Amino acid sequence: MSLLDSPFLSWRDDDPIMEEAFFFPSRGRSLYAVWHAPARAGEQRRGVILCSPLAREKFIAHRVLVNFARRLAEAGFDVLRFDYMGEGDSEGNFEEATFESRIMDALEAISVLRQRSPVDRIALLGLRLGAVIAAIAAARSKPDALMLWAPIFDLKAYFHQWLRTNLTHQMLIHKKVTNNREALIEQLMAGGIVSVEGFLMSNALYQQAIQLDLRDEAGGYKGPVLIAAIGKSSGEAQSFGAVYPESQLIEIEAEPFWGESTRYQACLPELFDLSCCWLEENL
Amino acid sequence: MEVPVIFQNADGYRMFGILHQPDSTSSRLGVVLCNVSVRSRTGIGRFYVKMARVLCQEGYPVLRFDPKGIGDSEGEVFQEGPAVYNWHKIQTGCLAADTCDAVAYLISQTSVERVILAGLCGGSITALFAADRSPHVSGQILIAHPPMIDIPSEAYAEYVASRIEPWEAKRNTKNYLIKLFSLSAWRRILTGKSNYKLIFRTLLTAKASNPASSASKEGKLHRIFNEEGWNALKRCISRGHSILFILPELDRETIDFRAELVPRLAELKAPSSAYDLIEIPQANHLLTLVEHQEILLEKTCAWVQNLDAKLFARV
Repeated sequence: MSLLDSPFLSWRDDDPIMEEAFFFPSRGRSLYAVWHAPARAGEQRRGVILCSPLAREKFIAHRVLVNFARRLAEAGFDVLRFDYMGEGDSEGNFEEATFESRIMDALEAISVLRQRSPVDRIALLGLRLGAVIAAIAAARSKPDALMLWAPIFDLKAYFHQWLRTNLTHQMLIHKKVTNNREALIEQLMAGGIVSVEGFLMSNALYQQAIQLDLRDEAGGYKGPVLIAAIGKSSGEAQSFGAVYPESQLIEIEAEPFWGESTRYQACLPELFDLSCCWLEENL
Repeated sequence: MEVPVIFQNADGYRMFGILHQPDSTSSRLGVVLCNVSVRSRTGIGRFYVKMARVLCQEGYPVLRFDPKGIGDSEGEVFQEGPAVYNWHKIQTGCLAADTCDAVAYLISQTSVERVILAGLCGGSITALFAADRSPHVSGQILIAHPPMIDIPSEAYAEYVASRIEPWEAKRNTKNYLIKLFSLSAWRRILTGKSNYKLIFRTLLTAKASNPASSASKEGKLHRIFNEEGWNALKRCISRGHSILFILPELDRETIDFRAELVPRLAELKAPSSAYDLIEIPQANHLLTLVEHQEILLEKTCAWVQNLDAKLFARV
């Protein structure tokens, strides 16, 4: 895939925000990004990088993140959304990407936003596994603020739950489980790949994720942290709070907007309002 | 080469997309992919990305885009709350106009003269309605095509939320039989701690002869044959469009397709070149197993090449 930068997109005169879609290089691969910028920037420019979740959670939560990015841009923030290598519109296949490659992509995205806009201060925002990526990237790059939406703390349990979807397909197809979870884990540990929800989970992603020590990897960040517990994710969010003793925890009563549901959600007013206010005060 | 593109629909809303342009010779036949339900242009399991890349490698320009209210694009179309109301909007063609604009955009930006519209589930309905309206379309790839239309209501929304699949009913029934001899299970039932709704649904689904289909008692209450979709299909066939139906074997839509659409298609006495049916054994509705996606890619690629040869006498 060749990299082709699109020209800057000017918005209509009366629009409060401008948006530009483009590819940027990260470790030799082209990553898709959208920059949302206020049409009339203030003297002090503040930027936010959005780290999306992975795989199907990203696919389902996409519109919520787009709407929040627009909300932030309207409030005067420069926002960069991007797709990790192997996800969304970016180059590569899902199974080629690891946890570490996604962290590197997030760090590159910070540089890209700084190139696009003269931002004075930067915050990282992550959802679900994207929150874990944002937290580790924050420990390495020391941004001015960190916001975690429904972060995953028990990564092993999360990945094992994810593997369960493979069992569901086995039930559907073979009317019984032919490879149980232990067999799938064995397959992964032996360097194999496992099909989950249309994605191929690789050994590298699985191993890196379950071996992460979040206190060690993310605890080095000492700036302001907001953790949003959404729906039933409060236990995980509280555990994550232990990594950042000074963090602020908010609880949002909402259905998980990253999971398959028979209800459509594109905006979460309470989450958007509280997050936006917190950024106004802390960035 | 993949290029991010932004174009305006007829109402002036900005649509975001990715244009896949072949590096070497470009075909006069192109493909526009129609979004699955209200979800973004990458498709479930990034299937649309894979499909676009495979077709592009074969020399076909492909456009993936988000219609108004979806993914990165501007505007709001869909309402918050029970998804059945949004399904209905899609099943009545609310995304067709934007798709026609995307077809025109692809033609304006590339060597493409004729277009194939492809889509999965709701995307196949959008493809059908847009093909009926656009003068530039010559073919459709309709994957897991739903021949029925949902009648949105609170009751239907509740039914959908609590609906269980036949294999789940089978598994639950097996577990219940084992628990018949469990004292603690009986204690849970008698003390009101069991999920009575789940038990009831399980038994109802397990009892039904064909529980997955719209022919089931509950299905009949909430789903009817999509007459408008059928009329669009007939018009497309009469105009000489080529249509490929992909039927995942383990899909409730395939059961409905065989019951409702196959007899009507037979009555139509259309020429044999008008449509092809390909079943993918053991695949589910969304083709979530990668091996099923690969079969689909191989079949669709061959079909597109055949149509290309037919339209432009390309060897």
